[in-house]
Amino acid sequence: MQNTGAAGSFRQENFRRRSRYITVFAVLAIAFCVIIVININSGNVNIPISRILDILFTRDGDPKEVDIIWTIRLPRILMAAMLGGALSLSGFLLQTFFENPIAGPFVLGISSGAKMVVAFVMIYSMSLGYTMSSYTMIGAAFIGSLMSIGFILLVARRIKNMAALLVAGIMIGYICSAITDFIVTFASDSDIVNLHGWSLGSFSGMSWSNVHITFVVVGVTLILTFLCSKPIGAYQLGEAYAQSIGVNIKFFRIALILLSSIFSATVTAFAGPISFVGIAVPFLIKGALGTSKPIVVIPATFVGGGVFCMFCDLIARLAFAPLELNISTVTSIFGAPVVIYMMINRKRRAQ
Amino acid sequence: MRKMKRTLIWLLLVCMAACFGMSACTTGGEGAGSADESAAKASASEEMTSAPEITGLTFESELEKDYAEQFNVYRYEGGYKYFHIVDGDDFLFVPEDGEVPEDLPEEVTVLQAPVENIYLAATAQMALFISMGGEDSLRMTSLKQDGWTFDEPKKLLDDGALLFAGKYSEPDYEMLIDENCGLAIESTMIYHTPEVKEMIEELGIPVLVDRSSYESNPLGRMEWIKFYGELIGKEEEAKAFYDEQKAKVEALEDFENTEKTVAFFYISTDGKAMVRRGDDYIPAMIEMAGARYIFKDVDDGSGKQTIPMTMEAFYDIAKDADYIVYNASIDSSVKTLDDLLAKDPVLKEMKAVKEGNCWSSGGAMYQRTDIAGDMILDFHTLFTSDDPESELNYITKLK
Repeated sequence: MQNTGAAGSFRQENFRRRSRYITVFAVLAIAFCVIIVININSGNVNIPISRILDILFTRDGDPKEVDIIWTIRLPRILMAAMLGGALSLSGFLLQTFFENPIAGPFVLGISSGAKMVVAFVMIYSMSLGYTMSSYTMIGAAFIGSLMSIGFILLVARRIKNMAALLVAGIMIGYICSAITDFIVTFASDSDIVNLHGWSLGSFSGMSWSNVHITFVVVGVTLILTFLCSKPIGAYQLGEAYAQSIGVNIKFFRIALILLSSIFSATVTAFAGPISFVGIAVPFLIKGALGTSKPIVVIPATFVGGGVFCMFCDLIARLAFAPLELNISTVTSIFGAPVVIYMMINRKRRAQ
Repeated sequence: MRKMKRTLIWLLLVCMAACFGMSACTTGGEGAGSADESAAKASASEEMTSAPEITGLTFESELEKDYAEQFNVYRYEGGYKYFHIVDGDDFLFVPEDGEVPEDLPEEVTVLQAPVENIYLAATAQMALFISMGGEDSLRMTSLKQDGWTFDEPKKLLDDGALLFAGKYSEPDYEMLIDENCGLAIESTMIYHTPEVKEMIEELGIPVLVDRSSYESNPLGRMEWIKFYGELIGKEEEAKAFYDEQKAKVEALEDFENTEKTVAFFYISTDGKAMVRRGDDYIPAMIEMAGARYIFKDVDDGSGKQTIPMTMEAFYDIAKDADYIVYNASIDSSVKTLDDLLAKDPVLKEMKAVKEGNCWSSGGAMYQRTDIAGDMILDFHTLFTSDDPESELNYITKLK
């Protein structure tokens, strides 16, 4: 009798939990679709929805409007969605790794490393009269990110203590920033202005070739991350437990750092450093789902990050059009209050 | 099973890295390509002493220049024009009913007449367009109303004849398309944001990077009015305006230099004195006006037009300069003598400060490329008049 009661209660709890998951995913899916529609429909040029649909499905119409939808708006929207998702997942992975909910995707010095190499390439190439292409900048940012990742991986092999690893990451960030400041000493005012603009992040000027590359890189990393759901879930219950079920902790830690870093390196390379997305979105998603189970949090965080970034980009584009705000300005306005609430909530729970 | 999973994961990681690397190499071969293109352009610009041979076109004449060294314009029969910018791009202007010549090299950009609805992000050229009556060809600009230091563009923006289309680093691409932008004229700042240039070109809008800032002679800088005059069909007006300004300067040719020394500089937020390189156009203006630029021999080898100096090095050279002219086009915070002296205590010890010869140039120094002649005359008045303050138009006394 008791067993039946317990089983019934378990089934009810299970049903409630699944309903909650389904509701959250449904809301996210609807929000994703709605924000895409709003983004496609919003801009300096007013294009009626009927013509937008024609353009999207048949690519027929006024060449001007086709250009606006296909060359300007769509690549930007898709990049905001993919990179927002990537950044959020990067944050989630690092928060799992450090067991700290305010660990962000750039805490390991990735954006500082990217900025360092971008500064070097920008200033050095301009002084030589070399004309950079956009992929030179992207390549420079990615190389800088990989350098920081490389240092962190080297350190991670030797340091077992999480706090020490976090400090090492922050120190790497400081070193990269110091080198950047040194490089900037020899820069002209125009170099400094443009470097500053780059470091605030932007989705402006995204092209279809950017979309294709990001789709491959983020897509593969997303699949790999999803494949790691089970070991992540085990790791959340403690290293000892994870080891007991056969997770190779050493390999797993490196994989976690690597996956997180590839996500954040890709974002930094294409859009520059974007703040608060990686901290705020995982927190919001976990709160909405009421769980930290990776198998549901990973896809939800990706979609949630995409929604958040597309929403912020819409504001950045339109708030003071034709002037564009940097994306970090907007994500900070929305993300920072979430982080503050999170810290206050954490303190209250600890008390 | 576990080993297979691990191998699969590593294989996927390697594939992804290879994918990214290949994409960067092929499309970012644009980066390598740019180096090759730059080299080709450099050698092409060195060799561009005569009109290029274009299939189907007969060369007619070359635009005569006096001082400008950064461009050439070659005219062909039928109204075709070839525009060459040193270390920059080449353009072929095709008349309205004309056809694009076959076998035109890929790197030459076609500008189909009429060239109109121009997005002007090289703000120093606005004055040139207005001076030759070419503002009708402009439609958008990268500077808002309050960024302009003279009235004409402010009025055009106010009337709606000109639209603000976003900064050069983040233009409103939709506006460029919606307004049928025929040409984007950018300053060399665009090289810092290559993705913007690429995006504008991807939208089918030609991009012309203005290199007038590389002219070492101020009249050469102003002579770009002829370049743009040829582009928009205002050749006569451009020549007339240029000749008028040139005449003002040539009237000073036989004037014996006063040998007075001038320190032209501004102080950056981190306390460094920023001076123009000796072969820059502002020192040339000072020399033409009848004085000597005191930092003429300063060159840090960086190739930059503006050279930072420590206040110690600055004071060592400029201590006995007869005049201080503060570059307020960069640092507009200095409006009085107290503002200047607040920048650094050592300035009080300078001869020019003690003798009350501190002046400030306004924003016109950068934006008013068209009135180089008038500005040189202003400098001349400063160096030669007993009471220059009442006669100056573009330089103000710091009191």
